[in-house]
Amino acid sequence: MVVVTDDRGAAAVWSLALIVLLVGVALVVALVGSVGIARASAASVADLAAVAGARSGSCTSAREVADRNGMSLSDCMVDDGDVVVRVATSMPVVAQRVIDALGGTVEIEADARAGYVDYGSPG
Amino acid sequence: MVADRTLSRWRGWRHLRQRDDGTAAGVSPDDGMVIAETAIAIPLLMAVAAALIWGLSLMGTSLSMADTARQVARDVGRGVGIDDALRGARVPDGQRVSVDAQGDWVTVHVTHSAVTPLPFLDGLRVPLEQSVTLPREWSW
Repeated sequence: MVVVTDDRGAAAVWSLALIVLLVGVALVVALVGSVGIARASAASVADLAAVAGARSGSCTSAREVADRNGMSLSDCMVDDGDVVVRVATSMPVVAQRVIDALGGTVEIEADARAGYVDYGSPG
Repeated sequence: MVADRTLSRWRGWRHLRQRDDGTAAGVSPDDGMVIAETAIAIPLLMAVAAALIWGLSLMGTSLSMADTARQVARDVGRGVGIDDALRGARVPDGQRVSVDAQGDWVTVHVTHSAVTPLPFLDGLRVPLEQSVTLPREWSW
């Protein structure tokens, strides 16, 4: 009776599978992380754009702030003295290509509202 | 005789017997390959895992930098002086904040040089940067 005990390569196969799994997890995490970072940046710019719009009382300066930060003002309205803005930004190029390859779409937008608060005159 | 049977059950005993060609009987030439390959693979897996964790920490740092830039920019936007805004900002270790005022616009830069935790990549640094631009003079 011949007993075959050829274990050569067994650990290599398992290791390769684990590395592929880890790299896959890393790619997903990188994708989610880049969306999170872009969203945080968009929120920051939306905040500043809303304040700029509220200070000037128009959407022009809000748009200018968004443009200066490499984003676009997708929506803006003046509501009873408050300025409500929506800022949109794009994903990093590599992440966008991965999403395109997967056939998905990710829209990164952030909303902010700012207005003048009248605390009244002192005394 | 009893002792001989007992020893025969012991795998090590079979290792001690030799065939005519000089190879050990009951020992495959692949014996130990799994251990040897695992010994090579484990450091590689550890390195991949460490790189993954490092990547996660870089993302956390980037978010923190965006938060710092936002904080300083908001203070400057509220009319706080640039120096006061920089002094009042809670800047995490390793991050550098600078404010660049050009014309009517002020740009807050936050930079960080991330060092790899992998010993064989010692010296490799990944520069991270976040910036926010806002009008220099805001007046109601």
